[in-house]
Amino acid sequence: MNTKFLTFGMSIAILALFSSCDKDPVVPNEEELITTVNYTLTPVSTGQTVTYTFLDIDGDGGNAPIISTIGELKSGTSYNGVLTLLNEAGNPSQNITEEIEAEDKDHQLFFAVSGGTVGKMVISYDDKDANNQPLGLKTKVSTTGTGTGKLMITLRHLPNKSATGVSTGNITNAGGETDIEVNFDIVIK
Amino acid sequence: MLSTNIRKFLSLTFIIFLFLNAWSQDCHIMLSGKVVDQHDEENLEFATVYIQELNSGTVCDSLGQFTLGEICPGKYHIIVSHLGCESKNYYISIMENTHQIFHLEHHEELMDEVEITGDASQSKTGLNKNTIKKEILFEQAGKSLSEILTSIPGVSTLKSGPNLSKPMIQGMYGNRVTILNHGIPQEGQQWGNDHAPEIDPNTADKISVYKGASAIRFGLQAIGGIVILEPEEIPKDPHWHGSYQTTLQTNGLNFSGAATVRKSYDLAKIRLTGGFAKSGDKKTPDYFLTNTGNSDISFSIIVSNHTSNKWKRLFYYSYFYNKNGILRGSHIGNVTDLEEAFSRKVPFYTEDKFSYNIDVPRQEVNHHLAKYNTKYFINESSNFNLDIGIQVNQRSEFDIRRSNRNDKPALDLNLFSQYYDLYYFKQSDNLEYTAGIQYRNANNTNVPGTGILPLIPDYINNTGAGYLISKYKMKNIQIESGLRVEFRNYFVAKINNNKEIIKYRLNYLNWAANLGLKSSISKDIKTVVDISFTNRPPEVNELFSNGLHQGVSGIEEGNIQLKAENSFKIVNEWDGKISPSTNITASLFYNRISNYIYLQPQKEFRLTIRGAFPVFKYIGTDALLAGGDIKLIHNLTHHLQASSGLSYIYAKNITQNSGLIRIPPLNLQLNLSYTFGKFWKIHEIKTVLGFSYDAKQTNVDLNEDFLNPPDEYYLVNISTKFRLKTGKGNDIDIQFRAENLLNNTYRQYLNRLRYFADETGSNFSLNIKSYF
Repeated sequence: MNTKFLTFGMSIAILALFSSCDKDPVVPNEEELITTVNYTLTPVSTGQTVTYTFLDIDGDGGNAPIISTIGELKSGTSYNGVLTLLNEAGNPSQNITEEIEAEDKDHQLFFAVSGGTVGKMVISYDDKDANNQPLGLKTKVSTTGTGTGKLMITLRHLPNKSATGVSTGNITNAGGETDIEVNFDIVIK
Repeated sequence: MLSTNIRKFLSLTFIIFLFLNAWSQDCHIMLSGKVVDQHDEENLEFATVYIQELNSGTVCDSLGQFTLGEICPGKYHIIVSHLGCESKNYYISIMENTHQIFHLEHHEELMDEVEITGDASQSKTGLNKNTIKKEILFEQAGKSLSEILTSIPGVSTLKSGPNLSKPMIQGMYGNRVTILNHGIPQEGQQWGNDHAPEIDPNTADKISVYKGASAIRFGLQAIGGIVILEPEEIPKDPHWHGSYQTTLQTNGLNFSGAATVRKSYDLAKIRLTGGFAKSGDKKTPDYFLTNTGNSDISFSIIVSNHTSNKWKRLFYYSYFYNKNGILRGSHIGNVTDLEEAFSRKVPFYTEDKFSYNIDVPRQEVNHHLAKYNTKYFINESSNFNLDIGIQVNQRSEFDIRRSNRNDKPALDLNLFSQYYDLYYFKQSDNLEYTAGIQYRNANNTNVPGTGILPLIPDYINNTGAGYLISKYKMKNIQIESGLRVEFRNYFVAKINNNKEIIKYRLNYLNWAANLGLKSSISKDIKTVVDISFTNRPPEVNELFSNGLHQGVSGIEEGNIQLKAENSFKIVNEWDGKISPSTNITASLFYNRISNYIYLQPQKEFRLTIRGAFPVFKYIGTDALLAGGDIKLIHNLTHHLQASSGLSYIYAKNITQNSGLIRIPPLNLQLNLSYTFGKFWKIHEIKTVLGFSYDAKQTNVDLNEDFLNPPDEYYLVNISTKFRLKTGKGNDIDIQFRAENLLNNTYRQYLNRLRYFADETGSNFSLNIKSYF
């Protein structure tokens, strides 16, 4: 009995030693990731197009994001604003804007101007979701006067669109979860 | 004619046979004996002894003695009951006048077993064991394991909402507390503060806690203590016996059921348990906690073979499934969202209707545990013991995601683990020792398909250890010493932000040692002093975590530079009767930990496309924890008992010269219980009025938390239990329970939910357990 017991114990111990000792994880395809926010302002009549870009290819952590502006915002101009979201981490890159359009009722963008450009850069919604509530992928932007300030663009997932002020672009009562929140320096010349 | 003669002859023979048989069937046998307390052999006066087959019984005299006459030879089920004790069913053979001593477990004091004798498998450490017995488990039915444990002073819970709670022993939790599930250390994703242990408390007949210094036999993770879930010995009875239990609760409209059955065959003894629970949204005094429902299913089986005196074998398997909703309003994005959530009186997404629906965010866990134990007795004083445990833990966590990805887990982990422990035990007159070797393997895999970079990498953890425990007994004193040496190897395959796989191999050699002294100062007062040193290597999450941890809404970063944690702890426990009616137990401790590993909030926020996130990094600091808990039980009269418990921990982050995060505040519990016996058809009525108070935690570093700790609060609970008897003498227990009777609004410091919502309001329960 004694030897039987020991043999049994030994064979188990040997079995245990054969358990694998290498791991090869599968690198996930981060299809939900948003790496790029482009906010493009095209003048309604003539003038220069302005593009604000927030780029963070490697997601949270890793290298710091790159925030850039191409073009100059001119005073006294009306622009058509178009916001695009991309996932450029994979190859080919993915258009996240389409996902937002497909779930327009569950999303809303908010544009908040602060600093010296308050009242000088006015942004209003130019699109509606299936419930006739604002979405914000398309906007109307008009500028008056000069100054420098900040623009914060926020995308909320599952906000309460019927809460007070939300349909006019006030984020205070919106709730929901932030999918993007980016800041740009604004200069109106 | 001949045939009639034969018939006559046969009938005569038959009559003679019957007569002889009746004559030999002496129905004048006497069963006499005594009913005593299992712990101190004290006589239990007026206990009842009832023979089920005969539907008759008797009441013991004031010395616990009884006599039952006119019994025919045979085997009988005998139910022994006593006021304030759990009734016990004995199956005995009565062939001649028999004198029998019946033992009952008196549940008056729910703890204190200073085991001066007993073999190594029973006295797991030198410290006192605080046990919650079946009776108390019944009175706490419908609660989670961790919540049940809080009836032991010094044990608190770390929570993430009403369903998710982890046990905390003297301020230690997670990687520093080991849960021994039927002899096998539970392997789950215990690192997560929002990961509750994957165990149904209904699979255990008793649950105990050792506070501190348990690392020698069960590994260096047991630095803060161990929680033990164990079955009781299955009685030798060839019939199915057991109990079933139903609990209904008003808060969350919770209904649950559990059953246990046992039987002893010639070859093996069997115990089966099964249970389920279903609950919907819980409610605070003012609003529903939307999406906080849960559902559980559990099953377990024990098969043990005791046919040979030399060789005992036991097989155990348990399965636990659990689905937990997480408060919808606690799911937030970045710091802006978090601050907005703080300012709200009622959380976002609160529905004004109750629902059983469990949506995202939620957790789903499957846990399998299989165990094989064998003990081989070389002779009476020495044996070999082998434990093998295999566990599979599958955890899926679902988040609120875009484009129908809600059904796709955001975290999907599969942990396969093995545990092998072999020890040799030998005892002589005053010396006993246990020498053992142990091997553990844990293999963690991120199940592909989440579409999210894993927070915890894939890894394999190989641990080999050897330990030696010796006990030397003298007249009133017992010295225990232990040493453990542990070698650990991690193989980690991490995916970094550039989607590259980087492999690491890390080795650690660590150890633990203890020296304990148990002493009987007088017949009634015992004390234990235990000094231990434990050297705990960092766990994989502490070294390699990387990414956004939704449960804490922060970016967690592991630290590969971490060194082992060195804990020096002195525990002094007291247990004694200071007067015939007063019992006191106390546990005092001093714990100095150098390189105490914790998640430290970093000063700078990390800028991401979703806004700013707080960053938490694992670092080692020098910490000091000191405190204790004390419990006083006083029998005011024969029926009325008052008990009070107080626990307090002072904790300091020495490096930062500040308080330490997540330490339970001062807690005070007062209970008044009134138990009285036979009244009409009710055999026992026990009413408990409870009061508990939690102070405000003021010893904290406000830079390390989002919000100040919540204010002090008190709760009033009340419960009444009735014991009825079936026609066959079996017990039926019925309990009515009210928790947070006054429907107080409060928040708990150790509950992450405090950032978003209040605690649950009053809850009324009906709890029925029937034995057969």
